[in-house]
Amino acid sequence: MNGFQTLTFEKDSSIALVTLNRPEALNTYNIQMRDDLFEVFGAIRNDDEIRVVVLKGSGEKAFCSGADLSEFLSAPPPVAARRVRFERDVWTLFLENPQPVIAALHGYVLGSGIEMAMCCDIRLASEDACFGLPEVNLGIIPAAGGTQTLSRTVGQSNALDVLLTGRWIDAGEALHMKLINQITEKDRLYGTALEMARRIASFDPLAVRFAKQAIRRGADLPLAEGLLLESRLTARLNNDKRHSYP
Amino acid sequence: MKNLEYEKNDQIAVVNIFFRTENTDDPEDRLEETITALEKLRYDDQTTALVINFAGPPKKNSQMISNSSLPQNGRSASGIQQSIAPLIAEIEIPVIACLEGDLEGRELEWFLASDIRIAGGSSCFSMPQVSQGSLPCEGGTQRLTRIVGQGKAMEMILTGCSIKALEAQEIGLVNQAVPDELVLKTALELAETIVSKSTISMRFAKEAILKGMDMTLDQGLRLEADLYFLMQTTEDRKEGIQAFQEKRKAQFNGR
Repeated sequence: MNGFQTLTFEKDSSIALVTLNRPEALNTYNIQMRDDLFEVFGAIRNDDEIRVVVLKGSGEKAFCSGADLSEFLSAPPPVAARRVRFERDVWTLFLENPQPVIAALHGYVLGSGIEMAMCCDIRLASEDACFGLPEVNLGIIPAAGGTQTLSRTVGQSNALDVLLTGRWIDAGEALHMKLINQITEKDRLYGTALEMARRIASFDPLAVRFAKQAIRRGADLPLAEGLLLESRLTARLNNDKRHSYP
Repeated sequence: MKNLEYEKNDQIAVVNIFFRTENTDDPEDRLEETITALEKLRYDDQTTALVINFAGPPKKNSQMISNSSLPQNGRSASGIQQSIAPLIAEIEIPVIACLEGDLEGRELEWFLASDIRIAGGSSCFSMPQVSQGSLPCEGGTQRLTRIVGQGKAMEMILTGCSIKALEAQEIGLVNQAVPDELVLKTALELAETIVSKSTISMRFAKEAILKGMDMTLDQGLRLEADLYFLMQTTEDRKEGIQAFQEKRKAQFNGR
């Protein structure tokens, strides 16, 4: 899988590495990137060799500094745009990716960038990372899930604070809010992400997938149904093991 | 009406909830006034941010009115339901609450119904209703849990113990703890940031967050997308993007 315009895809045995690759444009998210991500995550989910995905941005300055605004005023009318949003629903593809996705974040992580990161499962960031949802400054609201994933990640109060003021936060505050899981030195960011990916990749891949599923799907269920989901997945896992390792 | 003020070309409204006041004041009258002020705001399109000031302006001979002088269990002496929290929660524009002093019980429940909360560094917070043989009755059991998480909410409601401003900030009960004298100033500065933006995107962002929290993620994403595409029909969106491209400050008109 090569020849993407806006990203690179590499596979090192069980670990897939997706790198946003428009460094000259601070890796801004545009329609081409949406299509490339849609294709690459569509392939990853069907590749059983892949156990963990690492997502990062190329260049020194940014993981992704938001959406490419030059495409905004030429957007199709709302009804057509809404249809396309759900036909090429790259964010749901991210959220429902069966393998865990680790985001390695540096520099600007703004708008669509932070929203993309929040669709990942684990977020690592370097000391220089800065985060924000500046949409309200532009007279719009986030559209890549930010209003939903932010409140579920950092809680309602912090989400309202960050979103209504459009302010930026640094890596320290992001860690404190639990927006990110860990801060690393800049030159150790990718290494740390890879280390974590290798650790997860060394575990039973089905157990990893089921654990992710139980957490993700369970978050939308009443506790009793979440517990039921967990025990069903456990039963399936045990059943699978009996058949695989007689 | 002394507890409703407007600032900055009527865009920022300030409601003063006088829980510190002259002891001659009748708490029931103040409650009525607060209710009238909040109801009036719901139909006021000029106002694009609300500050609820829980300290009120400093007054001579002021003193804290004791909790017992406030109507208990959400009922006034005349037996009429007097809920403030739902009125605050129903306001569509961003609501910033600021507090100088301590807050307990019902007033804390009102405070929790706002969007962004600022408190003075010496403030303390408690939910003493259970320890007094009663229950929080203006959403305290629901909002506190959603804001600070189950463990801390259980602790505060079941023990009635009070927590200090720094801990309140740590657990997310307040967004910012600032020096006492800067409380109202900080809130007004935040309100000014907010009124400089598009009131439509403010209302939609708030709606997407608050309504979305009670939906499944999938439903919430649909709500967000619907509001986003509705936003595409507005003058504010066009102005915001054009201003960004022309590197100037956007002038939103709320249409």
